[in-house]
Amino acid sequence: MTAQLLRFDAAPKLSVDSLTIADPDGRLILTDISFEVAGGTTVGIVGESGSGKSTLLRTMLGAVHRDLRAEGAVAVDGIPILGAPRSTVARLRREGAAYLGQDPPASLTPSMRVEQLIAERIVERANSQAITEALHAVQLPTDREFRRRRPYQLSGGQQQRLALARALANRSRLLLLDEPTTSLDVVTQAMVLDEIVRQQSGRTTVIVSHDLAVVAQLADWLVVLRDGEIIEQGPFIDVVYRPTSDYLAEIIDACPDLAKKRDQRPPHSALDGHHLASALKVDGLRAAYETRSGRVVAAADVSFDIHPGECVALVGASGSGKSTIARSVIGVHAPEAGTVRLADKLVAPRAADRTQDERRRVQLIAQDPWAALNPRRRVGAALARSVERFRGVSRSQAGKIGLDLFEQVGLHPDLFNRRPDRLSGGERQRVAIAIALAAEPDVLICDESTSALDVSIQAGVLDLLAELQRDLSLGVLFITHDLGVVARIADRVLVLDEGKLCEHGTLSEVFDHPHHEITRHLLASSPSLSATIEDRSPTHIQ
Amino acid sequence: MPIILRLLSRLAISLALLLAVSIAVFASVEILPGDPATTILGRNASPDRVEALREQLGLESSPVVRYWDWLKSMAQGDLGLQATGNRSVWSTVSTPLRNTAILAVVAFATTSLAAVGGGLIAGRRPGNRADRALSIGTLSIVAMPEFVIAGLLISLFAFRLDWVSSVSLVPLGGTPLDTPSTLILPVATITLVAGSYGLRLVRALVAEASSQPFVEAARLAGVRETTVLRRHLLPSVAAPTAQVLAFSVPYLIGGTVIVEQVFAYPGLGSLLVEQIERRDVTVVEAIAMIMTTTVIAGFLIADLLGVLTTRHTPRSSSRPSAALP
Repeated sequence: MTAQLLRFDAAPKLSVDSLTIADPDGRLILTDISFEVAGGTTVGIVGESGSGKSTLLRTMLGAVHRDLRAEGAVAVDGIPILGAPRSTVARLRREGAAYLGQDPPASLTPSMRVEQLIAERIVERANSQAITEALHAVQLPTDREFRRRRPYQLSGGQQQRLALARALANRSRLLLLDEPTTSLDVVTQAMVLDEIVRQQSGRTTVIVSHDLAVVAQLADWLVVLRDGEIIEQGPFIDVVYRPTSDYLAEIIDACPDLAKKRDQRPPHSALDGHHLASALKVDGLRAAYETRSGRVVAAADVSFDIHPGECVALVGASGSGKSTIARSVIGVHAPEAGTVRLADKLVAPRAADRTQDERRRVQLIAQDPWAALNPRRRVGAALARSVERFRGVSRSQAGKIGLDLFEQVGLHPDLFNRRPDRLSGGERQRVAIAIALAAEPDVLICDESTSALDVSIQAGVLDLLAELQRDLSLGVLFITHDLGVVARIADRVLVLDEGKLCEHGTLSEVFDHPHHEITRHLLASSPSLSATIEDRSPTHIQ
Repeated sequence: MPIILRLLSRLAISLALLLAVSIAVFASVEILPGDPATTILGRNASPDRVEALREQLGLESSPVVRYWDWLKSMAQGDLGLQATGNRSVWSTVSTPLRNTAILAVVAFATTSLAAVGGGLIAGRRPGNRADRALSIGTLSIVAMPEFVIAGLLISLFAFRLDWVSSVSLVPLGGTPLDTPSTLILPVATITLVAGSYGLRLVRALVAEASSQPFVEAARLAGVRETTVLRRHLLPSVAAPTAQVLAFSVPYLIGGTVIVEQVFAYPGLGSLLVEQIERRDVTVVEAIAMIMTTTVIAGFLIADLLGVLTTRHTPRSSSRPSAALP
């Protein structure tokens, strides 16, 4: 009975039975989890961060942190994994399962060559033939030169494929995916998902994600997880069509979706009956930056304007120059040419040469609120300091205004005296917004400000931004690669490709009648929950 | 920057550093207040003898000229004559230098083994039992003065167990390698002291590296733990580890004065103490330059290894590590 064979000839059945995991303090991370995955099918586990979904997936690899206590059973084809001897777990990981975690390229050891990365995972003889097959399976080149490369010599897309090839090189029939496309731009995400769909056949797949739209493209069975408990489970289409829990209904609603465009509002010049000055006007902006591999043109003659109370989305794939444009506008990147006007007044290119009042007018909200907040400072103090600086009020007055701003961005006053590490990602981003509002800006620049957030949290932050935009007549430049988000928030859309604005129009003009190929490509890559569901169940609606 | 240029620039920096240090050594010994000739001969020496010695030492010419002459002969490997007596500096220095070199090479090997091996064992799973034991053990050693450690080793292995001799008597005209047992206690002491420092530093590097996503991925891919450490983890800590090991070189080459004294080991440290007492400037200068050159060479080698091992990792290592859920 030693060393059970864990190489499966057919896609194995996976079962989780009454699994409960608790941390050393007795807090439950997973509570009484039971579900089954039939051989060759795909189960999607959906939940927000902290719901225990990654812990659940790792348990299927026998990886339970040593401080955690686990009860119940996890079995692959009847072979128990939980509490199994170390040799069984090692065999499962080596031969039985393919695992791909978040940010797949990060799983590639930088000092190893392509062929070593693949060979290490091949169970039988890792000869040239086997390596060729593994690379070929994910549509990577198989020539000698390519095999001798190291990860940093590959393109981003090739790194994604290589990570998948490495995971699958043991020809495992069990594929475990933990948020494999989170943090990718939509174009890369579409490519990775396509590849996963191709690899799905003949395999049992488990995918964990916060993004229902991604899971929708893969899963036969849906498990909805919240606070370590299963809220709902069933065949994907049935569950999504008739959610029995409010929570799932909420997630479905929160999903950014191309097909769910916001109501078109009247053009802004007509809004108040008179012509409004633009809050931000950029003319002929040219900017570039240097990288190891040479000069990248981020903006080549970019011009646009934003009116008060209007949200303009700047869209493009990673590396198209979006962030450099934002940095040029706020004056921390020196442009080569072009002008920036705030409230119709020309301002200096460098923030250091602008007046306090000019700097006040435009505020940036970064993608990573972690990096924007000092971990040693209480968030309330950081906020009050901004209020004090920009509004020139006394310290006690600033504290009061700070609390008002806290309320305005939907934060509980109890959080005022916390440090950033005691806040959730969504809460931190709201603090960042409150700090930006302390300056009473005319324009907010949101650089991928919600990309790092779970969809349900993201929806809340987007609603907040829309509300502020309306109530404070804020102009918003929203930089994103996610067209689902654009559909939810934008009035007008700018599409950027290699530093050029290749498309420009109102939301419905751009989405319904895209002119440029890039726009069409971005639109086609964006996952749409409603469209996927319709595709998958043409008969369901009757 | 091409790799060859990066290597050459490190080499140039090292040479410039060596030159700067040579000025400091020369200045500190010769330009400081006090006349070397009087210092050597004593206050009551006759002016004639002082004059003669000044002549012999070349003290009549300007410091710049003397520095230049000294540097030229140093660069040619000529250490000159002893200030006290007529022996050449080299004949005084060579045997202790060889003895110290033997001790240093052996101790460097064991120190590196202890630091890297222990660092890997402690750091690969931060907080486990082995980690806690090694952390407490090394902390207690680091906290103890060297002579206490040497004393403990002597009382245990020389007196109580009678395995080795308590002093490192090297036979006249022989080398410590003729009687390798004389090396055991000095090497053990140095390894405990330098190895503990090294281990703690390497442990921190390994602990950080073991939370890197590709190390975690390799473990979840069922790669054997020894392979994970050797193939996935070690390359990413190789460069800083080389630096850590280079930090032990100054200690091995010059800082072992106390260890050499405790075990009566006839090395450079003992000679340095002796010659400082005798005010022999030329020997002291020569020893200082030998030590300096060795230390700079050690860091240069570590730097070069660092450049060579990190050429595949253009990504910065400051990528936020994924916390366990």
